[in-house]
Amino acid sequence: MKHAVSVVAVLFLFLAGCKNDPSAVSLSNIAPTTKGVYILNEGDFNDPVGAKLTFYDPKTDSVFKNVYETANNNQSLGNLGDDMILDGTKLYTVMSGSDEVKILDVNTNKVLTSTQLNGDDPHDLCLVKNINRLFVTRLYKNSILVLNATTLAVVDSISVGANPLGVVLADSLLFVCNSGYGSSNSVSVINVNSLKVTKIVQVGFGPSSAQFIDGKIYVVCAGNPYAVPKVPSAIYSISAVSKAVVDTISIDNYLFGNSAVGPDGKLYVIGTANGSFFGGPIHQVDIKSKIIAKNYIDGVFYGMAIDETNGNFYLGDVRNFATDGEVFIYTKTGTFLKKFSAQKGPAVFAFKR
Amino acid sequence: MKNVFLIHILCCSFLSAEDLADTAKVFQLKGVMVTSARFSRNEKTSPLNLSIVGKEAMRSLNGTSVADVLGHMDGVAMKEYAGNSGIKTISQRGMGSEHTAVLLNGMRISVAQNALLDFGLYDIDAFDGVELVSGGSSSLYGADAVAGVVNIVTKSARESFSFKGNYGVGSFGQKKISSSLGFGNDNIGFRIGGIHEASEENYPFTVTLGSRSVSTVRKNSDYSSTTLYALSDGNFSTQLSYSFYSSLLLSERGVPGVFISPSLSTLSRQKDEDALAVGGISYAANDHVILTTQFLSRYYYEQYADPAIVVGNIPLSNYFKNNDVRLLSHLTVDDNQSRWVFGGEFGRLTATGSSIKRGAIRNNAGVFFSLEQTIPIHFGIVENVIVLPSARVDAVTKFPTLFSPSIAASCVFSQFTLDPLEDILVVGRIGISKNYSVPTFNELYYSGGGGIGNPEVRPEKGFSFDAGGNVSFNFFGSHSLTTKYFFIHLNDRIVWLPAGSFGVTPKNVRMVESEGVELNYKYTSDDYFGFDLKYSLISARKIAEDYYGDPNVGRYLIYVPSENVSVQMFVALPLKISSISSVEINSEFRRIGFRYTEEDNSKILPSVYLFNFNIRTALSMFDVQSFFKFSINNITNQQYQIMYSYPMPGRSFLLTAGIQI
Repeated sequence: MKHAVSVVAVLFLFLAGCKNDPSAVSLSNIAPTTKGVYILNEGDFNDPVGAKLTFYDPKTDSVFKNVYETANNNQSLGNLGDDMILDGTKLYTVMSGSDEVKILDVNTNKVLTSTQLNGDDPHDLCLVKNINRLFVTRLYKNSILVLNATTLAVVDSISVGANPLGVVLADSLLFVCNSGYGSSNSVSVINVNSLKVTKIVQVGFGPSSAQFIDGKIYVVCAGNPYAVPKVPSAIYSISAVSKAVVDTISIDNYLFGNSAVGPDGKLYVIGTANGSFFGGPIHQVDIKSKIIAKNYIDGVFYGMAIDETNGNFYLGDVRNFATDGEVFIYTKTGTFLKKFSAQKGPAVFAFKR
Repeated sequence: MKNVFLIHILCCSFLSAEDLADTAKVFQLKGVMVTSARFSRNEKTSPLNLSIVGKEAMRSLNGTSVADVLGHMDGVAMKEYAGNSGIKTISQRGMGSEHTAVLLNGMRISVAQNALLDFGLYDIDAFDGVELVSGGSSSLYGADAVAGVVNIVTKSARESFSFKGNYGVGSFGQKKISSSLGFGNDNIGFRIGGIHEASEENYPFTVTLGSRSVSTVRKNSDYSSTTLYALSDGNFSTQLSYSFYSSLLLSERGVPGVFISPSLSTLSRQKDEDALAVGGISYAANDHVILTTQFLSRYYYEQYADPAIVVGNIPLSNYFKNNDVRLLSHLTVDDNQSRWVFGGEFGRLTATGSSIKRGAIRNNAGVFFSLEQTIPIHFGIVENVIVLPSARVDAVTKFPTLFSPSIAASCVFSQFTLDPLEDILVVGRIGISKNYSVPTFNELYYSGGGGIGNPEVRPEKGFSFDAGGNVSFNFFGSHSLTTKYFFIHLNDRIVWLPAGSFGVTPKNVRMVESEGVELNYKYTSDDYFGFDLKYSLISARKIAEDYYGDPNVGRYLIYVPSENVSVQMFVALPLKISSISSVEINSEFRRIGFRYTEEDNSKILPSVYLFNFNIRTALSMFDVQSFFKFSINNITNQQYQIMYSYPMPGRSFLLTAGIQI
């Protein structure tokens, strides 16, 4: 979805709102021991070197831009940074525009391994550590690539539904959201050991992201405002055991598609707002009571992550891709803490502990 | 004879089919009547800012399309996305392609679907000239004439039996063949012709990715284009004349898109089909009263497909079709002092396509008048003043009343001599006008992926102001210096804005201003030497917030070159060897100033310096005329981009040979 958003996003403008920029901005290398937050900036769709990595050190309130270029002799990260996973000292990144997957060493931020997946449109990542496999959705190829998580060699390919986006691991099952950009309504279930699709689960239209909470997979279906009649957004829960839909949560607003789980066990989703193509406010979804706290955090956010150690929200405002985006930090209660300028299209976050 | 062949080999040629009977003159300095535009004007004294490139000047340029001609004209910057295969749209005086009305023989051919007329599709072999009106002209031409008007002029068929054939080969697999057959006399003529051009266009280029320099070859950039045309014009009697032109254009090309890395290429393809017929009848009741009626019928189809992009389970394939029927009639009452024009225009445009599911219809009716009044002054150094008030009222579907007044004036000073300068003529101009552009069908009715049209969107409205003048004199040839200042203010500019999940929608939110100066100096020495310098300086900015807190107020508009320089030089060698009738050498220099590529003006594309050259020899033997033309584009092999991440070709060649019987 982000890719499509970016492709269309040539035109605009949007939002601002501003105070409290961090005191320091550095282009120097980051000390290996520094803890903080990696921010993958998507970049302009027409900028071959637009994907950028920013690092934020909360302790010193410092922002490090162009982290990848600084550590890798000004080589570029690529085009359209769409997903990122941090595991131990390895940072897995995927750039859908340049069809690249790269693994960085977070101690040096130097690239360890990279692979070029020409024509594959790699978009979302899911790491399965116990089998050392990295699963990568192929956005326009309706399939999943299976890579060796160390060498990034392609091991296998698995056909799924249309335009796969979010992927979540539940035990040995991989649940893949077949978004179809609003025209598809299924989740493919893949056994990571056999690498076979074991079931296709019908959900709402436009499944875009999924979270695994307490034995259930919560699938955020963005709906389709262009269908006739319009298809509203909804959240479907699937039992990880029966692989069947066990509940749905309706929502009277179109969702952007992104989601995250807080340490409180609640689901947080990005909504949409009038005039917002690049996301919207954060809604809190109590998956037990099905009570939705709309506009839990008001604003227009494109990317979201929650620091599980303290529940703080890291929210990316891409400011219509017309200028560098901003990252907002809110407490778990939704209180604004601070914000800082990142690079163009701050979309994905990873926490370096 | 051996020398003749040697010269031919050296002198080859570039470009396209040409009229071999033309003389070698490149720069036409004497007053030229804009006979094919809707309102005839004298270029030198008209209150309007007119620029004309005739067939001789077109022949002298490097390039094969109307886009290549426009790139040298005052205040015009072409947005080019690739070499010959790439889309080329116009930006005049810092405005968008939707702010220039495009006409063929005075009849509108702008693309109502998206306002993105690709001038690269139209081969100059089918035309005799390109006329440019600089400045707001909605009062004369209706919608979209905010920055100006382009009028493409078709050939005249009035000549005796002749066959013309050209064949060219060039870099990157370029091949072009063009031929036409005609017969007639000074009173009536018929001609049919065809042009086919194709190329792999897999040109090498170098770009910088970050700090890394990458050299590779453009892929999926091939194209094939075929144009068939037929035309006729003549006199039925001393009072009744007619003209008719019809053409069919079929184009198919790869769309390489944004360059990301050497290993990636798209599978995107684009097809264009343009079938049109335009004609008219003029009845001259007497020497002073002429009634002209013109019609246009046009079918335009465009398809964009990418089998590698599957949305749902369907490979991407979008298309639209526009059908346009127009009728224009105007009465001209002319005497020595004044010219009245009264007219009316009716048009009906329908659109269908994969992204306009229910189709769309636009009806347009307009009435207009103008008066060009010459007021003799004969006081002091002022000889006369020409005033040109005009007004037009249009009713367009959804927009019932669109009123566009304008007034322009020129002051013609008495011709004088200031030894050694002779025949000095000074003309001053000033004009102000209200103008508008109507929303495109996409802006009103789009319903495909990524966005949705907004039926509530309104026409963009603004005004423009022009002032300037021209000095011409003779001193070892003819000199002409033209200066122009312009100012354009535009309200309600349409911008595609966020509109909820998965979509954007157009809204009237932007206010922009563009101002600048344009200078043009021309010199010709008989038929042997010509020099043409054009310079423009433009400042186009967003002057108000698009939304509350918009950080980009005051920023320059993207992809508007800060300044442009064009220099053309022509030398005709007085060689009369054997059958060689002429040898012409043309050189061109263009500097396209830096362009911002981001709305926050955080990035720029650097200035581009392009040198082109061609040499052409004409021969005449046994009533058969032939020519060879050899052209080099981008002599210095500059690696450049007009639009960010769309690399352009480096040095390229084209050799063309032609005959006329």
